[in-house]
Amino acid sequence: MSRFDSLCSVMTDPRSAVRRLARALALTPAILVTLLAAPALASAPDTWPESPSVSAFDVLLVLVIFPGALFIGISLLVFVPSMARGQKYQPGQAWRGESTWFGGPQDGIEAADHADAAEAETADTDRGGASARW
Amino acid sequence: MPAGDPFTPTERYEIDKAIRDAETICRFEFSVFVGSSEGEARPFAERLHAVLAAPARSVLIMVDPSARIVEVVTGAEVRRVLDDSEVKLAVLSMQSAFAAGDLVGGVTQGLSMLAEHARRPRMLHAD
Repeated sequence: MSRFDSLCSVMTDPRSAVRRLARALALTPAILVTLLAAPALASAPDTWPESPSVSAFDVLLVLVIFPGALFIGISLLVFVPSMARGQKYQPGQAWRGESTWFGGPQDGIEAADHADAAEAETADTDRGGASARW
Repeated sequence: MPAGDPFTPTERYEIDKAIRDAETICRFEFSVFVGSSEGEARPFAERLHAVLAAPARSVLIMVDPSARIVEVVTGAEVRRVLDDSEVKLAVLSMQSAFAAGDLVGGVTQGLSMLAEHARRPRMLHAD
């Protein structure tokens, strides 16, 4: 059996004693280090400067008042332009505005009221168009 | 909220400009009515269309936001270039804008679509 063949049998046979030994040797340092490590101590070194005490007001200022002011400021930036533009049409809300006719006749909607229904029918029978609801 | 002018000056200007642009593009007359219709929507829109200066050469868009109806009436002469299926396309695009609450956007978009479709080269040897 050549060297290559013996290496192949070690690599492929999971029950080989050589292979088990190699696995145990490889794992030993890791297990030892994990078992022997002591927990880290939590006290700060003496050389560190003493941290100044922070008042409750400062905490409140930084953690509550600043974020709150930012929140209100951004909300205002978002809502003020549309509030300044006034009432807008919202789907599902009743229409409260007056009727408006762009490009209509001078006397506006009254002209349509005065117009005879019969006259309207005879005026243009070949008109077309389309309609939809939403 | 009191009843009043439903459009801001900017919105008025936008709609007026869209009407002018549409008229420049296709040489027909456009008018837009926004308000509640009296009685049936279609006859009302046709009545409005009939009192325009030149009904045969005019397109009327009637939007009733409270009844959620949009009607487009085209005159006889317009209809020769702008058939009803093309009008239906514009109406559908207006419908989706209105359903999203964009009244002015829907009107301007519909106007430009109608004008683009009506721009087809005129046949000089027809009838």
